[in-house]
Amino acid sequence: MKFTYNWLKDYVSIKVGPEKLAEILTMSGLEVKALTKKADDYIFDCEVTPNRPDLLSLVGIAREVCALTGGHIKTSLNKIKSNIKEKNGFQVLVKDKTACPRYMAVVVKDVCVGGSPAWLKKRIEAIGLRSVNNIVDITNYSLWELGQPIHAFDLDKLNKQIIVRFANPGEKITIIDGKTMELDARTLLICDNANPVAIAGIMGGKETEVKKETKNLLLEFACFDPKIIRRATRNLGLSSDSSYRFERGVDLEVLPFAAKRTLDLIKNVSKDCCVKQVTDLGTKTGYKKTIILEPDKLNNVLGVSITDSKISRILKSLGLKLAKLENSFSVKIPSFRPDLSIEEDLFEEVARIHGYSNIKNTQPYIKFNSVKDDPAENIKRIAKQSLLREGFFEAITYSLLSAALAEELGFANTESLELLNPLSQEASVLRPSLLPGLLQVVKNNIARQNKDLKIFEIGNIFNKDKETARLAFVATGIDYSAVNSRVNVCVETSTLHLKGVMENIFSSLGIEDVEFLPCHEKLFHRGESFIAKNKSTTLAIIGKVEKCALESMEIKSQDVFACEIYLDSVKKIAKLLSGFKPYSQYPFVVRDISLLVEDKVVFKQIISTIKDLNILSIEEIKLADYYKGKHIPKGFKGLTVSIKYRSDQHTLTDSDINSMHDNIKQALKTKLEATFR
Amino acid sequence: MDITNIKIIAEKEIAQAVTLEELETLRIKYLGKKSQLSKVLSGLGKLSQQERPLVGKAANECKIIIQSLLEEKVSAFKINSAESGVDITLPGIRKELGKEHIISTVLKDISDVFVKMGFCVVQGPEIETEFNNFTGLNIPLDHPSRESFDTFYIKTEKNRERLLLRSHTSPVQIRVMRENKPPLAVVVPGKVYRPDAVDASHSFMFHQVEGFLVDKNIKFSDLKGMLQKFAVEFFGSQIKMRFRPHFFPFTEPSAEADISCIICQGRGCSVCGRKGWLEILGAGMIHPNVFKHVGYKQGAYSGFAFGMGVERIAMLKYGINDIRLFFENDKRFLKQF
Repeated sequence: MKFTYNWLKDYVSIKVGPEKLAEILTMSGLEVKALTKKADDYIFDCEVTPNRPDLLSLVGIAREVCALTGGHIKTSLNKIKSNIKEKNGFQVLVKDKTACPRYMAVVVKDVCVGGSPAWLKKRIEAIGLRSVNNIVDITNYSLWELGQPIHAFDLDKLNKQIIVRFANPGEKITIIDGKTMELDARTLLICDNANPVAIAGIMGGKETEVKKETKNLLLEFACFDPKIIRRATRNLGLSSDSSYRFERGVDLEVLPFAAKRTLDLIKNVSKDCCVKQVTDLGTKTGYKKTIILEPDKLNNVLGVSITDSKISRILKSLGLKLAKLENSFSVKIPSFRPDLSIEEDLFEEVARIHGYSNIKNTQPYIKFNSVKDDPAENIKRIAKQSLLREGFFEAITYSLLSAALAEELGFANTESLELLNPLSQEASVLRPSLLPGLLQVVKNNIARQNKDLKIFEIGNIFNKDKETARLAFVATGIDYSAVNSRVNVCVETSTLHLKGVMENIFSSLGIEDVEFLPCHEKLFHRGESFIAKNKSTTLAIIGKVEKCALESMEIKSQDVFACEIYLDSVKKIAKLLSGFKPYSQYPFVVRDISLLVEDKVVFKQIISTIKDLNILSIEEIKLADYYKGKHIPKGFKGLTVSIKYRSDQHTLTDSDINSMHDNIKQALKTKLEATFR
Repeated sequence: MDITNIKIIAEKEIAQAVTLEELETLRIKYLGKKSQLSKVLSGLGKLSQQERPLVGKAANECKIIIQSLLEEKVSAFKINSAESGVDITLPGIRKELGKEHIISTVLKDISDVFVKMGFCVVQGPEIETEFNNFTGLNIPLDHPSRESFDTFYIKTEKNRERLLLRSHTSPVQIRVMRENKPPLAVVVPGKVYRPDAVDASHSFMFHQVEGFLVDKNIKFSDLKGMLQKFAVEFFGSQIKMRFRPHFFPFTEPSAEADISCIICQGRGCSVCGRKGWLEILGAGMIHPNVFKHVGYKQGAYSGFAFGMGVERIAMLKYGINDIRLFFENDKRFLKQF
């Protein structure tokens, strides 16, 4: 909403300068976004909140200024009164009274359409409008003044009568700017006996617009349902100063005032014109409400002590009518303030005019909460710390992705949740996994020469059944962590690398006992991807990303490894508290076993073979070396296992250890056909 | 030349020396048998009874200072040369640590201010019902924000109710209040969605922190006091905060809060549009209809709620000029914070 300082002065005596006024308005809720000096005047550009349609007019702003600065409304404003009586005039038919609760049509004859006088042109242009002709400019001027949109038709182009009705599907109208719009059945139209002549509340038709040749006018002062106008503006992609006001709601009691004022202004520029007929259909009374306000409650809610007389003064200055009751006020709300419906609304009015800055800050007393922190957050925090220590960077990716990509990466579209109204196909389904987003990050980084990457994300994923929390991490290229940049020892990322990261997360959450099963997800490479399980619960999937999947992401030159952890499952088995375990006072001895086994024997079998012997004095079993190829027969692999012996009863002797060690070797030999080197 | 001058010149020359040879030359020059100091010391006998102890003391002190300066410098040379075994100027053997995303950090930093005051953290789901996102929050059925231009809807319905991606974190108010009775002090950090075309300052996904305090006799002045405290804790003690009336369907009275511009300290710059103030959050006293929707008895409780956009705060605080950078996740961006 734009207005100028001098124009506003027509309605109210302003006791402060433009800068000060801008500040006062901003601090009272009518935010002045820009204040510009133009010649001898100042242009105010304000943001009107949607609850205050009354501030979309100079009179409304003047009322506000009075309340704020103590000025008074100038008499010229009071003169705006209706002397227009309902009589049989130009025939108007309103088909839907809810869509159009009030409609006034005024016939004006013998007007002289021409250029606007300088004063009018200046004001119209100051608020950013284009001066068209005296009649159109006056309708705009009057709109700005009272907030009532007005449309002027060329009476002689209208066929007999005005009908307010909904459009027939597919009906067309060419509007003032020359565009032809096709309408649907929910668009409200103003029609004559033959054709649509305006899209109600939004824009007039080309055919009936007021031009230089126009002699006689039909002026429309109407009130339309905000919902209908709003839908139509969105649907048609068309809006105007009129629709802007109708969408927010106009005061239907203002119609006759606006009519009188507009006619006065027209007579002013076109001396010989005369008003012939006035039709006024529909409801005459607008918003009405009486609210009981208790000053004690007001002071209590705001944390202030404002006197009854000040409360009364403030509310009266805003144009409300008050009656004093025993411990309260009865407050009558005028039709131009439909935003005021409950006591709290009046508290805000008093606080606003009193000034928010005059309310002294206090400190609330915060009691023990009856809600608790979500334990899942703790799991996320611990896992995140673990990943940060491992050198992974956190990413945040969009939760929306393209349906095509989701499908290409193996996420069946029957499972995914789609948006009804996506912005684009690129972001039309809710992510069924964090991995597509992270792979996209990998792709973008590689395209920018950031080829070595370790990233993770914690976030929610969505499928038909529910929304669940996940954690995913991916690595590609060379892992530089734990590597001295000078020495340049490179470690390529690998599945086992990621497994290590995952194990650290699990161990920080007190989860051991993880089993691995082969994974058959389309996103992952068969044979190098696994499902991590604890008993029957799936905890994660981990492995090498399938080449085809990478190619569809345009990642061609390097392998990518990924892991996604199901936080909801992890939460169920996590053990965040582990008690102290006493440790032995006696020294340890480490002995290695170098063995050769067939390829099909997996490491886990070696470990369980040793563990099955139940030797209490084994403190730790570690893989010290693993090798294949040269010096190893085909179909076999060589391993070195380090075993740390320690007893918590006594110092182990050589013979103690030898006997345990021989037992282990024997077991490995019989159970796994291991040979020793 | 007097002793003070000797000292000053020696200090200067030692500081300028760049090789061990030069330092040796300086040692001979200032501490050797033929040095000026030696001459002074050997000439003490010629001085009067009063002068002798004073000059002697000064000369000895000067000698000690020069000696220690030379030693320091020599040992510094030795450490830097490979002679002592380690070239300590080589890069340390360090592990590259990961970094949290800046949005996560800011979310946590904001929440932590309130957690310290006694708030707890609750996260709601991103898929919401129309009731929790709108109706429960006193947003009328015909409100523009419900339209598909302003809210993402999901194709699937649940129990005949439309589902959507929450357009603000406020529905968590409804969830928490339906399940719990006051006293409540809750912060809600999380993702929200609106169908805005992506550009430098818009994103269809962004983050908010919501907070609310509900109890008996919570006042508007408490809201002001608490948010002022937040501003000082989060942005620094020099920060001023002001409250302007505003409109939200779920609060009454409502306010918008500005902080004095953190770039120009309120003098006016391009970031704050020469106003000296930056809009930072929306707030207000929880609307009676919201309490009604969650089943609280009329008038039994009062409370306030507030909400702020995290990307905007992060952009202001860290000088980030494009919201898209947060979601591109370029490694060079992620490494910076």
